[in-house]
Amino acid sequence: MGNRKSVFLPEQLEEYQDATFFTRKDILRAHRRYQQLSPGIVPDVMTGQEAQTVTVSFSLLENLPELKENPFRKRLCQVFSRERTGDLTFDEFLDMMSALSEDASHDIRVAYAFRMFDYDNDGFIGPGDLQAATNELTNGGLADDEVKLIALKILEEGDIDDDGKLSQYEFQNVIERSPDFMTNFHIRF
Amino acid sequence: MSNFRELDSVLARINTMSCESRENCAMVSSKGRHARRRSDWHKADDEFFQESYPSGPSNANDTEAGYEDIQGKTLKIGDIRYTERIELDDRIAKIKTRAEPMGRKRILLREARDEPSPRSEIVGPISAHRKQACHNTRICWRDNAKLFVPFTALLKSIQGRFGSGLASYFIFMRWLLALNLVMSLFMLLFVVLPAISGNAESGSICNKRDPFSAECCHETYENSTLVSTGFDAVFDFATGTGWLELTHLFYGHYPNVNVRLQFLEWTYVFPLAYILTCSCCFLVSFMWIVYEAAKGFRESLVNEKGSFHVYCNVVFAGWDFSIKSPKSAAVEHSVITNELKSLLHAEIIAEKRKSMQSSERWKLRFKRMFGHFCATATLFGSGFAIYYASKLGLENARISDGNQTKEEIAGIEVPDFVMEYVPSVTITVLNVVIPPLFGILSVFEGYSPDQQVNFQILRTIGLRLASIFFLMASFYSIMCPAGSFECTGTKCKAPPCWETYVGQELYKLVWVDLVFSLAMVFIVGSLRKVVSSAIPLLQVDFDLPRQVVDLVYSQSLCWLSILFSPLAPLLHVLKFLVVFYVKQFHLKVICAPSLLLYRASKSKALFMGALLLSFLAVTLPIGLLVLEVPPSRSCGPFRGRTHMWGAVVDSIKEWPVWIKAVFGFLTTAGFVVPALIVLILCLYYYYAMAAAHRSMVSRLQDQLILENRDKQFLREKLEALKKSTGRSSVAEATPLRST
Repeated sequence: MGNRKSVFLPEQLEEYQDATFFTRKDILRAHRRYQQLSPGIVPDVMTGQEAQTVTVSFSLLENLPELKENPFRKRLCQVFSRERTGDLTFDEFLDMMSALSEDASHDIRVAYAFRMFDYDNDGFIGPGDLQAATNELTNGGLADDEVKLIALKILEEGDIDDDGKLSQYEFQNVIERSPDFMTNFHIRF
Repeated sequence: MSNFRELDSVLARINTMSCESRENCAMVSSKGRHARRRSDWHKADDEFFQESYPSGPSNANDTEAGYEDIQGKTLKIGDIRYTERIELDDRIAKIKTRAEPMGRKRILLREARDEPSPRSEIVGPISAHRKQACHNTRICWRDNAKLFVPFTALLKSIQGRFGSGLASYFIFMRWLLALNLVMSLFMLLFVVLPAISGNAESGSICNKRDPFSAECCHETYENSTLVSTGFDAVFDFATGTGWLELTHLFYGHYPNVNVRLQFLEWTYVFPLAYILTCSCCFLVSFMWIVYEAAKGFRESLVNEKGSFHVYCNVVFAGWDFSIKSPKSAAVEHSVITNELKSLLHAEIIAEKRKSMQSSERWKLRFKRMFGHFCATATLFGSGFAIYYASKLGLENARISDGNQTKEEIAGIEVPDFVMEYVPSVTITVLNVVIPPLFGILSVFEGYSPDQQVNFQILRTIGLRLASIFFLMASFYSIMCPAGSFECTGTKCKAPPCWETYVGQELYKLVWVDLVFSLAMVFIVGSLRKVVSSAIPLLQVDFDLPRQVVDLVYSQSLCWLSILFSPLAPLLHVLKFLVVFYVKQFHLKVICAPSLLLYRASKSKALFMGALLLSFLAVTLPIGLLVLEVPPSRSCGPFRGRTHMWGAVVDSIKEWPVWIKAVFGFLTTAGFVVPALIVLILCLYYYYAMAAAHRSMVSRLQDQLILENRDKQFLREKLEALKKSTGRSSVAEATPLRST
């Protein structure tokens, strides 16, 4: 990194390395990508509180090539943002990239996946959430009653205690039976 | 106030109850996770208790509220005290896996660092820092190790455009490359290099009195092999005869005596080295395949019937997050839509089938039996065709020993060169033409699409393996029985050096396979792409199962030819490299996007299963050859012996007596039969345990439902109690978290 002023303080980098699944190189690369999204707003040097205060709005985040085609991008950004608005500070952005990275543990991915599928933020995945998710996935390719039927089938498979919605534990149980989750639910930034 | 406490204790009971059964359920159904620590609700003070039960969505701004984390409780600032005294690294690792925002983690990290660990009192604060440095170098090491794996950027781009399923095919090809590299390294180090660089110790020379001894036969053979010049030399490169036959590529040229290595002054027992290295290659392949297959099983937890959630898998884990291009995203949308539609459709068909009349069911059964019969008949028919084609080639090899005769097929004169290729071309043509017929057959049989794919794959693999078997059988039919002491085997119709002949046939097969696949991709594929803009029906599909079977077939050819042609793995490395780039071209330029959802996990299981099956099928003829068939007397490291394995037996004879006694015992029935019985008992034990666990899981699931009903009942009672006491403030202070 030569003569340039360093982007982060060494203590900050240590903390990031401990709190996320990233190495030093990855964190600096994340900062570069974050800055590319809105070069005017994001500063080069984030040694102060900029990492917690400067936000990039969702409409700019959407332009990331990894997120552009993802039907869940809005939910993803909402889950990681504090106010559920979808605008992310650098801390939250790093959080998101780390949770979706290759080295992230199973637990953390399942936890965030659950929050992502919970469209109404009530702590459960109900039939409405499932229908919304299915519609996003198929891009409106299925008829309404087919979507309702699929939501019912999912609850049939996953709802253990028969209360008509999936709790976090039931979701975790379902994901453990799902062999593709770990390979599919990750983004290589 | 007392009522308040009463309600609190009721709530505590309810939650302990659900935590217990939840933990049990999770313990049994999740693999190998140690038991969660019981939440010590009694130890907690009021404040702690209150904060663990936030009032739900209205507290969304509070980052501590909202979701329990997976471990069953939310970790509070002071809660680090409650964790066990563990090292700093472990604590950091635990904090890393919490699904909480960065700000919270930062606070927790600072707490963890400030907290003096018991070790640091003895060793001092420096050790903590050093541990952190090691932690970082571990990351650095892992980071750099990734640079040495080739093709990562290429595979990443394929994954972005075509999804993980198709990328896994190329990852599988890369793994096969690695396997072949390792095998060729073994062969080069232990077989080829000693043969080239060592000086053969003088064995016995040809004694003119005994013209049929191994040494004389060998001399005759070496002198009689034609070394052609000019244009023929180019043909020889493609057929393996002539000048290529006398190189180290084939078995025939290797010495059968001890070799003295120049720089090491060792005597290297060459025959033993040859057979042991080949066995080593097989052993290493087998272990590596089993290891990868087991890894796949561990990752993709077992699909017990009824506990594999099909719909959940598609909706929750169906979207491939690594897709970047809009075209692929559109394809993925339609793929998922198709998958869901076909799932619903399959349900409807299953319902229909349940309500089918018995006469219709019999018709279906008859159709299926007829289909199976047709498939088996086709397999045998093509097998016999290959057998006769191979016999024809053998006749040609024997007759054209020195005479450039022109053979005749059905009265048409065919040049010698073409005759060489009759067996290999027959095999390859049959392998190309018959699988589409199998496809039509499976549609006729009326299976569900999933089952259709499985049957198709099984039958295609069966065809490939059958072709190899019948080829080997045709070679076996001409072998001389043990005990015939003559050079060229004029009484039995074997060529003078049958191992080299087999090596040559396999070499030609590999060439023809490569040429055919190149032709299919470049010529046929380009034609179809040009025509498909007019006729969409002719679009080329990247048929993943078929491509996998091709790969597995190439690999089984490699394994077959290791014994007869030690440089075969090296050739296959080159072949796979070429195929790697050609298939990428095929996928990117020629193929239309496929409408089938290829899941990466299912694909990986398919690859490894097919590979294991082919490996086991290949070891059978090789094992038979090594143990039973007498090696040819005129060439190779085993000339003069009764069978190849004799080299190992001879060297065991020189070992101390007790080792021989142990080996002797291991091969008797007195050891093998009890060992087999013990293995079967172990198998049965694990099967019984699995069945017991399964019934336990279903019982626990029922228990969960009952517990939930209990909780709802209690909750209703609580509501009634609240109403009767009329304390509205209670409702705000202690809302009940459901589940």
